[in-house]
Amino acid sequence: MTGTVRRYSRRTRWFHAGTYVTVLVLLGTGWWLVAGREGEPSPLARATGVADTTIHTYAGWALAALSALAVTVGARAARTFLAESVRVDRGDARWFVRWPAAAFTGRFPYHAGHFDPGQRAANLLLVALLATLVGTGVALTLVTGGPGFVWLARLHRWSTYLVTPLIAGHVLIASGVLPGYRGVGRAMHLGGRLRRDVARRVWPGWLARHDAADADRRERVG
Amino acid sequence: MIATLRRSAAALVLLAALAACGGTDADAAGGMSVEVTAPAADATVEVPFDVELTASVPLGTTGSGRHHVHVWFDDNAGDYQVVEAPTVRVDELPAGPHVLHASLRNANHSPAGAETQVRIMVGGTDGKAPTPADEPDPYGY
Repeated sequence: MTGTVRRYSRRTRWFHAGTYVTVLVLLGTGWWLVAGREGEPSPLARATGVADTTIHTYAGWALAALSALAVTVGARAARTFLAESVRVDRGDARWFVRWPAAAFTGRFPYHAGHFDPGQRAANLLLVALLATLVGTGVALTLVTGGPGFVWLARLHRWSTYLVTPLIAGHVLIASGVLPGYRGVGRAMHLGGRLRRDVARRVWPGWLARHDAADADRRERVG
Repeated sequence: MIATLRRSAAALVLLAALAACGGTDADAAGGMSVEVTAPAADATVEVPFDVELTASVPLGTTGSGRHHVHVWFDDNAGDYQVVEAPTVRVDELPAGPHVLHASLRNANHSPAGAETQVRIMVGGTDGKAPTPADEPDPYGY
């Protein structure tokens, strides 16, 4: 048995990369505009020669297209993602209680999910907020002004306020800066080969199922 | 679950469709206009100077849902001032001839269909507003 394990398919990893590049562009240009710097080209606007408002709009359409792809071409994966994100198991509360310390020690309580309980909550919040941002963003390109615009802009802005710390937390965890999460970023990057000890530490139930399915497949082939 | 996803996609499409029907009264009325009332065409000004605008619709912040104006000079359309009131001060502009552009924008930054431009001449040498250090000392120290 090798020392690494693949957690996500190449297609999923590319989808994830496309999504976060788009979202980072949206957050960068969005916060630039929120900061009242519209008309003053950001470094990205200077590099591309395109106004920040236009970059934001184009990136928003790209995210809308990725969302449409996810629920059509990737419907099966999206269904699995949602099913694994809404699951609730006995012991989830205990996992949350021990999570802050485990983020530093790496001694996470056992959980059986594909995602840990914290990831599940984050997934649902992220999807809800990104869907709101895409929906209101599309609407804001079409409603040019007036009271409808004011409400859509308000919803868009508050969703941004909420999604920003969530994404920052996701990036912090994925970066492996916290000792308990060291190495998890490889699940989505650089070939997607995750060290087995990392998988056992963070997603023990998933690794056990993965190994069992792998052994079963080998048995049938052999 | 698939049904939920389909419903979400349908909701998104419905939202976009509803939004498409949601323009402002001003848009429906059409005939928008924006004019630069000061400085006058071919006027010579010294930095800093005020640009006065007259628009056919009330101006305001993006958050208010009102229109605003983008003001820029020459070919620098990407480097503009957002004007949410009838007057804006220009603090920095090199000396020499310039074309002042004003474009009326919807709250969502899309063009409202009204633009104007005037030629002006900036006098002086450095084209920057005087700083307190540059100004003559009123006490003669």
